[in-house]
Amino acid sequence: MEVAKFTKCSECGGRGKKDGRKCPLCFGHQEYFFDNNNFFYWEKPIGYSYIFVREFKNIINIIINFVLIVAVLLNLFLIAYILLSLEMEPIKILDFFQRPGNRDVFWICLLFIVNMFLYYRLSYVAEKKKTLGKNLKDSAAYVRYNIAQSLGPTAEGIVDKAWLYARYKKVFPLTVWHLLFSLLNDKEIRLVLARLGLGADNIKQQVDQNLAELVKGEDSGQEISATVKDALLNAYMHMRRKKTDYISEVDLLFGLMAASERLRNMFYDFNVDQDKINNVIAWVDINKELYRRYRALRSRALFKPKSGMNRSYTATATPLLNSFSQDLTMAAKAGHLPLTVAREREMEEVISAIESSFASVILVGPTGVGRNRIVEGIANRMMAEDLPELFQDKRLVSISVPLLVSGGSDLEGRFLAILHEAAVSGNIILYVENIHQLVGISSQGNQGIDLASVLASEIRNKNIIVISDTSHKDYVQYIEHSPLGEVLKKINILEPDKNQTIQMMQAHVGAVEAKHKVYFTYDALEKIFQLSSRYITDVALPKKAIDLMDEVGILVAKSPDGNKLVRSEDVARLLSSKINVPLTEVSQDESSKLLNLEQEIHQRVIGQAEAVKMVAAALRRARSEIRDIKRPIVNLLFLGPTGVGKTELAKTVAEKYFGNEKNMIRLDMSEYQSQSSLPRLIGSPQLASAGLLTEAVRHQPFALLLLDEIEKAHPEVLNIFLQVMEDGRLTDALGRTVDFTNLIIVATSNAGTEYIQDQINAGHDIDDFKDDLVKNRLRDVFRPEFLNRFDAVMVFKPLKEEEIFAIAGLMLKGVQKRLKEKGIFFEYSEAAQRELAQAGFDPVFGARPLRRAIQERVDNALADFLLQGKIGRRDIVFYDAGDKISIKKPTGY
Amino acid sequence: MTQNIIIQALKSLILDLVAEILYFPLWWYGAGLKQTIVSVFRYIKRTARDLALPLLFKSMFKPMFGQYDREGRIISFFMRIVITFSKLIVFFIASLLYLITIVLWVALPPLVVWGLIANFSALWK
Repeated sequence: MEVAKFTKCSECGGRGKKDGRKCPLCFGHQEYFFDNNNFFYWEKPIGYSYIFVREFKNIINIIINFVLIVAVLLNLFLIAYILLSLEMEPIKILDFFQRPGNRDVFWICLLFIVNMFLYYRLSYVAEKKKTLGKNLKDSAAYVRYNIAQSLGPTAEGIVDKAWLYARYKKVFPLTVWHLLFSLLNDKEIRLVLARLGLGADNIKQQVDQNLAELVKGEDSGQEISATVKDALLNAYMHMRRKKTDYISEVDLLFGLMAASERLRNMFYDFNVDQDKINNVIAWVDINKELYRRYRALRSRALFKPKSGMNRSYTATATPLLNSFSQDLTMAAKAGHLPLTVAREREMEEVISAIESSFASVILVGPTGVGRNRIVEGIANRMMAEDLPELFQDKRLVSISVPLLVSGGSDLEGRFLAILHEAAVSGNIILYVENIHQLVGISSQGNQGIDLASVLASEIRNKNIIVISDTSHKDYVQYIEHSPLGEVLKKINILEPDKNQTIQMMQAHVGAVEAKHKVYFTYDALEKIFQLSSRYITDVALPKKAIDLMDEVGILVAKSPDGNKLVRSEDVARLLSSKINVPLTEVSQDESSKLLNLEQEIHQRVIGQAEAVKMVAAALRRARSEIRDIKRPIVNLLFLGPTGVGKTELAKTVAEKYFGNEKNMIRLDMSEYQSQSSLPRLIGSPQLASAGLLTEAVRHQPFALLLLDEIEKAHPEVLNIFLQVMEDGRLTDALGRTVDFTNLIIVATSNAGTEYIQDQINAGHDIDDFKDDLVKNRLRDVFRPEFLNRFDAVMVFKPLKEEEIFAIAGLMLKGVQKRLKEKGIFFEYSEAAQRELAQAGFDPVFGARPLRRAIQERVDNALADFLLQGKIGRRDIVFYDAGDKISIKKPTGY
Repeated sequence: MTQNIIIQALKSLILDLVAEILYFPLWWYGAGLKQTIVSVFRYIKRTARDLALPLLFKSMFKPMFGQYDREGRIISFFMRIVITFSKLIVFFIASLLYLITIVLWVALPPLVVWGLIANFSALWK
């Protein structure tokens, strides 16, 4: 936003005088701002005497107005008294006024003058403001204007107090800090700060610090600093943009932010930038505007007929229609329909489409986008007669398809009768919600003409105007190629953008706040928008945002700490717990955990230090939100021989990032070796069936997608993943776009295993041969562009004996844990662990044989013991080398 | 100094008040009159709309209650004349009252001044 700034007069050098006379350029005002052919300057004498005079005048003005009002009341009383004493007889009254020298008439006349004067006083001020505003807007008229005249009474008081405070502190001239200090005591500013999640006291502390740095000095004669003047100018400009009459407190705050960089920086430290302040100020204004619109609607409601009859008496009674429908204009009259916000463009589109060709329309948009709310907005405006002639004196009637269909036999006849009633009445516009429900409905099953065709023919004959709605999917499936598709003009209702959504939320937040007795900060609303648009994919905005807002309201209202302020963290906390993805700000505890993620992972995965390091780094990037949000969280390729921990690492990642290793979608790519397996993955349009992959991701959008043995998949199948890894989305056979941006994609592969083993055996480090592996050895298996899509390719080494020993330890701990659930304690010796490791070690199959060895030698023996009843609860089982198992029975309790 | 400030305050206050009083008659017959006339006409227009007069005139020959047969049309026409006529009467009375406001606005100052002058002597009776 452009910042206005006063310019020092170039003619007189800012002195106001030239050659002993008033400067001809700045008219003695020293500084000015020129805009739209208007000359703005600031001139407001400030000082003890002026402040006193102003305050004194304000009081006197109040007294004068009070006296005048008393005089008016007195006048009324006098007139009533005289009329009563004359018994209200016209002859006596005439006689009374004609009687010469009547003292009472004198007093009445005098009081009349007082009444007239009061009226003049009150309306003159308002009128003066209006003419001035008009002239300032007119670019042809040159106006010289002192912006100090636009200071509202409260704002003027604030400036005065700031000046007094500066004097008290012996700092000259008045600075932005003084003005801000003075502003902080204002009620409306405190409200704005609360919405920003700031306490006035925090800011006050900062202001105090800055004030302390200001040097006490001599009175320089300059009362107001240049920055404060610029702040006042910007406050004035803000007021003009808002089209209000006075500079208010919020305008002053806006001006201060615009003019002073230091102040901006201070707010920035509190995570508040100018945009945020502007948006909160706009929020305050939206509420005022909504209230104004509500009142305007209410006042119009008085003149709308109460019955279905229109005001020109042409309508007929519509008993059948009434029993299957709801009159939306009546609901609007009763004040039952909420106001529609930020959908003016769509409403205009509907109105002009209907008006231009007497057409019927269909609103097409996803669930939750607010199609209904747009129709309600039209109903409200119809009620207020605030629409073109075609809509005037008409009713908007919402017909219920389920009610109609469930009402017995002869559907077509009844529907025709309803449409006939509406057509004859001539004052009815029909609204059919979810119009696709009419398609294929007839009383003779599939044979007869369906209701949709009946309606389509009535629309085609221009007997009736219909507003209808449906979703994209249903439009394509049922409407597009049906007779209805031909007669209904399609209007796409898109999801609202950020600003629109936030406006809609602001219009709704009052109800949520009142219901749950909580208070939302602006940050919370913004966070609701951000998180709901990113993480809730099955419902459209604004519904998902408003629903989330309601839920956060409940969460905070029920929080045990009694804090009723809804902050962005609360929103993140709620959504985080709903979808199992860490979204809250990284806490101290968590950040140290993240920094030591490698150790955490190594508790489950033995060895593979390079791969673990890269995975940990990728998770840290994802958690600190330094990633492209239009792609999956991270795409990883794990290369290496079997049994070295690739799947285990993937499970660990799922556990660490999504909270549970079950948050994993696992696809065995060896099942997709032919091109004909593609429909299994993404669905088939012929069979109208959904795909395994797309369905799984739709139901579990926050998970790890594990693609096992990816090298075995058909190249066409790989192409699908090429797109997924690049764009983060995939359209299934039914035309639904599935979001992949909240997935971690891990592909594992055995390709190049021999080469890896050879290199490791030759004593090479992974870093030495990785490049060669990816660039040359894998070329026959994967296309380069496919490999390129991975954020990292991790090579897993074959396991060494020591690592197998450690894994044996982990597996034995697993046995320990399983037995503990049965109340049995399991212990083992190191020699036994080593023996198992040796038995299970296989350079080709990694740790797989180890699992078998433990199964055969430990699990089997334990199972026998259990079945024979040799082990009971609280027994201690000791496993020693040479497969010796001894049992120690507990003694006593 | 305090005394000085008070004198200054009183001076500016009295000056303002005198200016305000002097401008009073000018405003009454200038901007005030214009404002009154404009709002009277706005009220008249609003009354017409609230009584649905334009709508009634437009649908003068349309049958009432969807009675499109000949009898219906004839009865409707006469019925509409009755309705329109009665609403017109209401409209004219309301408009007349509004217009009287303008006349009163213009006539009030001389009447009041005349009343003051004519009855001034009675104060000392």
